[in-house]
Amino acid sequence: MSEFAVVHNFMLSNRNKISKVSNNRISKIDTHPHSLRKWINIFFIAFTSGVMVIAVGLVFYTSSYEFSNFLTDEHSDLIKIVSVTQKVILALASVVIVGLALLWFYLQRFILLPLNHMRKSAEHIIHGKLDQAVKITAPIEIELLSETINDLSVNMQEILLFVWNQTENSLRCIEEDTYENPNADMPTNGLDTIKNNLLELQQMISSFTLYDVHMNRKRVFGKSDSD
Amino acid sequence: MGKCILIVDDSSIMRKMIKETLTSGGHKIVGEAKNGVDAVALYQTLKPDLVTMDITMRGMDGLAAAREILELDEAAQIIFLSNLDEEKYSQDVKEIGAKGFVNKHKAGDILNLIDRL
Repeated sequence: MSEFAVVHNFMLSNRNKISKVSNNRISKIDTHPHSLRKWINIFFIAFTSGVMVIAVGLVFYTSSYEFSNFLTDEHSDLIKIVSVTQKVILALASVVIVGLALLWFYLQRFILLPLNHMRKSAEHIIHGKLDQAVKITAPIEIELLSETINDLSVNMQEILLFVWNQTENSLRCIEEDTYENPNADMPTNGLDTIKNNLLELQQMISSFTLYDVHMNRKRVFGKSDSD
Repeated sequence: MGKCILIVDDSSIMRKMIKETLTSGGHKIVGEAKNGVDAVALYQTLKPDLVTMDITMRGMDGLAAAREILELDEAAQIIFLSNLDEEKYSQDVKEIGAKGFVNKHKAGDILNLIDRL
């Protein structure tokens, strides 16, 4: 089986495994020690609890037996201040907790959700589904990243179309020639056209810088090998 | 005689290849746009001699962008450069008022077309 056919069958059979791969990555998020989801939740719960405990503790302390014994009638102004202070403590604690909750929601909706969405779209692309663009509402840093992922998909499609057109052109050349010269062993007239098509394909590939590989017309080398 | 050209294509690798083809023909690339909206905006700022326009682009496609540019400037010279079938789209090309249609896989033909303009 040619190498292309192997790759093609591999991709076809793996189309059904997209959700499996995606689930593997999701479980990696669940088990990884450093995950945004885990640490945002830990942070939120820890700080909300901490603020509540401190606030309630301060309120109880300032109305406790020992503390109020400390204040005599001479300190009536001080007693007023303490009760005002208690209200301030509770108010501040509420504000902080509401702020933390808002932050939690923001992170969930504008960071975690778009990141998940982008990851799923990118997974579609690596499995050969180039027909969907990822579209998210998120902070500009994340939106720009999603736009770049779309650009990767567009480039991949352009390359594939280019290859298709060049090969189609060559195939037609051969078919016409076979039609005109049914007894000939080799296409005679179209060879130049076919050669040009192939050279143009290689020229397009040369626009890329590849990882750990360099090529000349004869062979493909690993970058660390000498010619 | 080299012209000032605006390249419109959503694929960065295609823009790179078209740029190489055109500069090898002695032309100057004054700008690149990756969608129809940017194409129209850049046309108004840069006023190039010629625009190469891809057809399939997300958002505003090349045909719509070409129409808008020609509404703004009747004398605009637009050449469609696309993967799509030439026979099928050559009628649209004439109706819109573009100067020609070149298939991306024979991008070298564009240099001849530009010289003839």
